[in-house]
Amino acid sequence: MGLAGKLSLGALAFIFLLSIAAPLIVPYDPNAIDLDSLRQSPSTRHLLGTDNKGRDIFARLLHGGKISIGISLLAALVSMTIGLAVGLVSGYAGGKTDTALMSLVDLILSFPTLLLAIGVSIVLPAGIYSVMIALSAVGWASFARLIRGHILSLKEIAFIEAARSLGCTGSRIMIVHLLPQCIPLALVMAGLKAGGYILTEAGLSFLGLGAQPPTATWGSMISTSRVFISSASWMVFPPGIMIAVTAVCFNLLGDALKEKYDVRDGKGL
Amino acid sequence: MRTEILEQSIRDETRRIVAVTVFLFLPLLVSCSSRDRVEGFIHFRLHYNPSTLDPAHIVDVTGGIIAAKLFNGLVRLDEHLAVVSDIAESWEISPDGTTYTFRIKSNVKFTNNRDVIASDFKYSFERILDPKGKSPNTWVFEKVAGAKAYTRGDATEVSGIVVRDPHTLQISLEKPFSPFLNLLTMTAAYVVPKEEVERWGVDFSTHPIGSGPFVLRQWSHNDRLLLSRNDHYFSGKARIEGICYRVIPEDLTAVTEFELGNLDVISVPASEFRRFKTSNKWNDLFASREGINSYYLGFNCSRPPFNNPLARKAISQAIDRRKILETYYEKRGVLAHGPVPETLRSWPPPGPLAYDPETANELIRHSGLQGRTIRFYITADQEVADIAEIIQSYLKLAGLSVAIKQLEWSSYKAALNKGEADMFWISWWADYPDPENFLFPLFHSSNHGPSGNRTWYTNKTVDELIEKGQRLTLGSARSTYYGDAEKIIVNDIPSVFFWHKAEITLRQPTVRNYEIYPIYSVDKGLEVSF
Amino acid sequence: MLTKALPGDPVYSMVGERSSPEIIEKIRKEIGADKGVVRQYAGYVTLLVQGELGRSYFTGRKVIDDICVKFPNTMRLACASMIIAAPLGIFFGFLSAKKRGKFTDRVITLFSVSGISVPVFWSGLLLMLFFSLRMRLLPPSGTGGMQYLLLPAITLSLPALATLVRITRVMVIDIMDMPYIRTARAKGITEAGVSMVHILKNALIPVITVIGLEFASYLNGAVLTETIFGWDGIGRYAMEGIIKRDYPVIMGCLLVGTLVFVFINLIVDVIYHYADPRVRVHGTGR
Repeated sequence: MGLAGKLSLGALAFIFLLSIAAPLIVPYDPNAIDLDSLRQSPSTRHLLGTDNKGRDIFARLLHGGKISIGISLLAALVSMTIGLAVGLVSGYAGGKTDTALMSLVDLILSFPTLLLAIGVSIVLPAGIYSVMIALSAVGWASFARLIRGHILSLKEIAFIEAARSLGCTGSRIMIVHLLPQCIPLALVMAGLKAGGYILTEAGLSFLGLGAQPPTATWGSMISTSRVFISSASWMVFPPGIMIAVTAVCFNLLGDALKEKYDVRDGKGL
Repeated sequence: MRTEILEQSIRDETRRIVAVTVFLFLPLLVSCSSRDRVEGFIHFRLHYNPSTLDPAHIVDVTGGIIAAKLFNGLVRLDEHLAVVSDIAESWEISPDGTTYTFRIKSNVKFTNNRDVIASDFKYSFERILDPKGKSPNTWVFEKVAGAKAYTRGDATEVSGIVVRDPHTLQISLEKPFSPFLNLLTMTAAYVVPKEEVERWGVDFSTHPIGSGPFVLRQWSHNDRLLLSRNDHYFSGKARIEGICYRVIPEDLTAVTEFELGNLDVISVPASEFRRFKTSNKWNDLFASREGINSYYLGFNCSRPPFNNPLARKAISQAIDRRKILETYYEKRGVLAHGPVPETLRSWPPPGPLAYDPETANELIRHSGLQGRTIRFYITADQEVADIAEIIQSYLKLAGLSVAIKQLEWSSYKAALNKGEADMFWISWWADYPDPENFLFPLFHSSNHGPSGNRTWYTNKTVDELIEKGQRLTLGSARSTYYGDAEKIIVNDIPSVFFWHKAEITLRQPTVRNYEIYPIYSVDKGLEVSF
Repeated sequence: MLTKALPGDPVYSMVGERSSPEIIEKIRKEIGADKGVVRQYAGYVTLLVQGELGRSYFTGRKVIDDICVKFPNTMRLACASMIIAAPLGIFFGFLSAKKRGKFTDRVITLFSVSGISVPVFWSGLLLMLFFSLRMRLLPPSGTGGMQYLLLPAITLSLPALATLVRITRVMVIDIMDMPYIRTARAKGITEAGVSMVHILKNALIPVITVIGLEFASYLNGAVLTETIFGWDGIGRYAMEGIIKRDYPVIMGCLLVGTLVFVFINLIVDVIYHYADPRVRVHGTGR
C-alpha cells in the first residue's frame, strides 16, 4: 500500500483511539453546562474554547468523533453485508431474480441519497441508530451492483462448472467459492463508502436528525453554532476540519486499497 | 509532438476558463455596489414566509403584523393598549353588558373604492364562524349569541349580529364578557369585502383586499412582500411611501443586510447582541420594550410523575432561573413572578419560589421522581434547544435524568395534546392586553388541551375566580379576583414561570418615529418615516 | 404510497391551536385522510391527469405553482455550478494526468480528494464567512440575481469539480497508456494528431456520464446548499416537505425528481450514441 494509504490508516486509527480515550485526555464532561464560561475563546483552560452554553469544545469534539466515526463504520459494515448478500444472489441466480433485484437497486440509486436518508430517518424514532439504519438502507445498493457485476464475470470461469458438476448446491457455491472472491472488492468499496457516510451523517445531524441534544456529533455542532460563525468562529471550525480530515483519510485509504487490488469499476471512482 | 497537441488543447481550455470566469464575475463587480432597496420604502424583516394573509385564517404573529397594515376592524388598540375607535366611530354597551351597539364611520372605503358599511362586518364575522370556511379563529366570536347554532349548521345566520342600518351594527352576547372589545381588536375581526372574497376564493389569502393604510402590491413568495401606500386611507395617509418585508430566515443574513443598509429595522439576534451593544455607532439606536408574554416550563399535571405537587415544587427549586436569565439570556427579559406579565398586573406580585437545590434534592427523594426518565418536549428552535439543555443539566445535578425530544411545531402541539410529554417548554403571547388572556386560556379547566391549558391544570376555585373577573367590566374587584387566582396558581405550580421576554430592535439612523408595540396589531405603519 | 406511512398528523398543522373538533373532522374529510389508501391514490392520479399536483397542506398554495418557481431556481444553481465545475474539472484532470507522478499531480490530487471530503455545508459556511461577512462583497443568503447565486454555485460546484478532476485524470491516463497511442507516438506526428481528437472525444464519454449524473443529483439534492444560503430551490422544498409531512409537496417533488433523472439519462444515452458506439474504452461498460 502506498504511503498515502498507510498514513491515512494511521491517522484514522489515531483519531479513533483519541476519541475513545477522550475521558482520559480531557477532564471536562462534554455535556456539562457552565453558565459562567459562555463563549470563551481558546485558552489554556479550554483548549478549543467553550460554546454558547459553556461546554468545552475539545471534549465535545472527541466524544462526537466517537459517535460519528462509529456510526459510519457500523453503517459501512452493515451495508456491505447486505450488498454482498444481494449481489451474490442476484449475480448467481440470474434471470428474473436478477432483474427484480437490480431494478430495486436502480430505484434506490436513482434517488438523491440525502433526501432518501432523510425520509428513512423521519420514519424511525429519532436517535443515533436511526441514522445508522438510514445510511445502511440507502448505501447497500451500490455494493450490490458492484458485487453482482463481479459475480457475472466470475460465473464464466470454469471452476464454477466444475463445482456444480461435483454436485455442490447453489448456496454452497455462493458461500464457499464465490464469496471469498468478492471480499477484497467489498472491502475497498466499504472504505470509500465510509468516507461518504461520514459526510452524510454529518449532513443528517446538521439538519437535526440523529443524535438528540445534548449529545454532540460533528454535524450537529456545526449546525447549532453556525449563527456564531462570525462572532465566535472557534465553535464552528474544529468539527468541520475533523469531518474533512476523517473523510480525506477514508478516501485516501480507499484509493490506496483500490490500487493495491487493482480494482476498476467503470467510473474511476 | 503529441504532447504539443495536448499543450494546445490545454491552452485553449485555459482561455475558455478565463473567459467564463471573467464573464461570471463582471456583473458581480457591477452589482456589488448597488443597494437592494426600493426608494422611499421602509424595509423590515420577516423570519419566514407568511402562510396566508386572509384574516380569517391567520394564526401567527407574522401574518398578523402584515394584516394590520392591510385591514381594519371596528376597534383597535392604541400605543397605550387602550381600545380606541377604528372603523367604528363610537359604541355603547348595554347596562347588563350583553349588547354592544357600534356606529360606523361613513368615510371608510375598501381599496377597491367601495364604502364600508355595517353589513360588511356581519359578513366578515359570520365568515369566521361559517363551518364551510374552516377558520381556526372561531373561538374569537364564540361568545356571540347564536354563534354555536350557526357553526353547527342549524341556522343560516348568526342571530346575535344585527345590522340596524348601513352605519349601525349591534352585537349581542350570550353572557356578559368583559374582554369582548379586546377580542374585536384581533386579526380575525378585520373587515373584508364580500365581492373580492368570492372573486378570489381560496386565493384571497394571496390577494388580500381590505381598507387599510397599505395595499399589497407584490408578493414573491419566500423572498419579499411589497406594500404600497393607500393615499385615500380614511385616517390620513402614512408618512412613508411603502413597506418592503423581506423574508430572511437566517439571522446572520439579516444582520449583514442591516449593516449594508438594505434593512431599516431588525430585532437583534442573541449571537450579535453583544457586538452591537458595545459599539459606538449602534449603541444609541436600540429600542426595547418589555414583551407581553410568558415563557414557562409546563408540567403534565394529569398523570405521574407530575400529578404530585411535591415533584413540581422540586423541579422549580432545582433550576436557577435568575442565573440563566442573566448569563445565557443576557438580561433580555424580566424574571417572572407568575404567568401575568408585570405590565398587565395591577395587584401585588405573588412571591416567587427561590432557587434552592438542597430543598429540591430533599423533595425529589420524597416525591418518587428518582429513577424515572423525564420526557421533556420542545420545539425545533435553536434558542429553545439551548435553554432545554441548560434545564437538563440543572436537573442532572439534582440527580434526575431528562430526555429532550425536539419536534416540529405541528407535531409538537399534537404530542402535547395527547399528553405524551411529562414537561414542555412553551411561550404564550398576548392576543390582547388583559390579564384574563393569561389566566383563562392557560389555567381554566374548560380549556384543557389544544385551547391553551396544556398542563391539564384543574382547580375549581381558580375557575370561579376567573369567571367572576370575566363578568365584570371594570374596577378593582376584577383585579382582586385575578390576583387571588394568580396567587393560587403560583402556589400550585402547574408550570415554572421563567420570564417575560423583552423585544429589542435596532434601527438605522435615518429611521424616525419607530416604536415597538408590544402587541403586533397596534402598528399600522402610519408614524414611521425617514 | 410509501410516504403515507410517515407518522404525524398534518391536520393539526393546518389549523390553529384552538380549533374545535368539528373543524378538525371537516378538514380531515376534505383532505381525504379518512378514506382508505387506495381511494387517496386514485384521487391523486385524477389530479395528475388534470395537470395538477394538489395543494400544500401548510400554505394552501398549489404545489405546481411552487414547483414552477423553485425548480427553475435550482436549475439556475445547478447550471452555474456545472459551468464552474466542468471546464475546471476537465482542465485540472488533464493537467494532473499529463504531469502524472510529479509535484503538480500530487497537489491536484490532494485538492481533489479534499473536494470530495469537505462537507458541503461547511465549505459553504466558510465561503459565506469570508466573502460575505468579513469582506462584505456578497450577500450571505437569499434568492435572486448574480450576487446571490455566486456563493452557493461555488459551494455546490466543489464536490463535482473534485470528482471530475479524478475521473478525467483516470480516463486520460488510461488512454495515454494504450498500446496504439504508444505506437502512434513512435510512428510520427500527423496520424497522432488526427486520432488524438478522436480519442479525446471517447475519453470524455464517461466524463460526460458523470457530468450527467452529478447534474441530476444536483437538481434533486442541493438540499444543504440551499438551506445554508437561503436559496429558494426544490431541494429545500422537498426536505421541508418531508420533515413537515406535507404529502402533496413530497409527491410533487418525487414526481419531478424522477422525471428529471429519466430525462438526463436519456440525454446521456443520446450523447453516447452520437459519440461512437463502436469504440469501447476500457472500463466504461455501464
